[in-house]
Amino acid sequence: MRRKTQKLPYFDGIASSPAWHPNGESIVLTLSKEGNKDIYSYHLKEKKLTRLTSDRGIDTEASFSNDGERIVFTSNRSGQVQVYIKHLKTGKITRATFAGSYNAKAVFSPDGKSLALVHRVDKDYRIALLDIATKDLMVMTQNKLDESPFFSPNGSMIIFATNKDDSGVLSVVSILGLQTFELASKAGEVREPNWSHYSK
Amino acid sequence: MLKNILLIISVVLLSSCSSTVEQLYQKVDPRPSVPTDQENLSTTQESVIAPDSSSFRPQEFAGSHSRSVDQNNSARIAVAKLKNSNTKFVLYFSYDGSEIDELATQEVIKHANFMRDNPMLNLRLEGHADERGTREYNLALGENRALAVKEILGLYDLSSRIEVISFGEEKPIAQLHDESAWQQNRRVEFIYQ
Repeated sequence: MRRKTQKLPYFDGIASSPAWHPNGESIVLTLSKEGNKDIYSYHLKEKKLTRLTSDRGIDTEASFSNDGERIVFTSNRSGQVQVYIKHLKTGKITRATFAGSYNAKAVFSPDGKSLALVHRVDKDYRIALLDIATKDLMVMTQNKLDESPFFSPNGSMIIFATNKDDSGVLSVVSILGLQTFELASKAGEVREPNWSHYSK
Repeated sequence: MLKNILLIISVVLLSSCSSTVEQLYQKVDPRPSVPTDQENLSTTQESVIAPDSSSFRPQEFAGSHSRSVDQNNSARIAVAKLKNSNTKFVLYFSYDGSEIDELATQEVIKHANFMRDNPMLNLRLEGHADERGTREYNLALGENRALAVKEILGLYDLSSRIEVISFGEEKPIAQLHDESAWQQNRRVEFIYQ
């Protein structure tokens, strides 16, 4: 099968943190072409760039909900690094996290009711689960430097990257029992995991 | 004899003139004096200045027009002189901060004056973050730090000669996982090219 590669347009500054829309037709990403870092969506067929956030602070690490109606992103617009949700139909942005001074890199659960994110506890960065409606936040790991959480397709587990003995490893935590197990890896950095969809 | 007397008088006059011009230059020169090591030890500032580790990179990112070997050597010498004058080539930042305090601003102004005196040189500002927090956020934070330096240099009409790049947390100087290492890694490096 021949795969087609499409080059995205070049912009000055950072172009980072891309994430697919569930329908595969567009992506969200962070651009700093105007100086400050904002979230944009780019429609691949129409080649249309749309600005989704506009703030003097850093807006980054956006990803879609499974229904494509919301994005969640990290912003320091309040003076602290926190997680925000934008409803794409109404344009309304609401702050999702209030506990702690650092919450980032959130992703929606498959049912769209909760977020997995990186949460700072004292000097440690751990994976936490946030109930979007109640704002209840549950810290799920006990490590020092966790990042990049991602839900399994059935929403029962979260895979994430962490650091053990000066090496990057992947780990999985179950949401109900908080059981954690590490995925074997040889020397070198392993990071930024994503879970594949169900294959039929 | 008369010739010798005239020669001595003119040398005396010239040296007196020269010292007068020098004194005048010192009076009107807006450039800040080079801070002493003792002054640099301040740790109460938002951004703290520390010994540099940057360099001159001939032609590596210099764009389309190339420079001759002689020009590269002159540029290298000019940068070395700036380093020897105790000008800092690395600025350090507070946790999650990109503000530049007064002491660091004085260092940036030295670079601005240097760039105005050396129009053949361009500057690359490399922004970095420590390992804490998420990678994408740190990439943005590193760029903010470099842009904060560029903003000051922009006041001297130098923006077109400055390239900004962020490495986020990907290129740490210190490899340990403690505050002293993190402090060294939250930085902007000045690299002339």
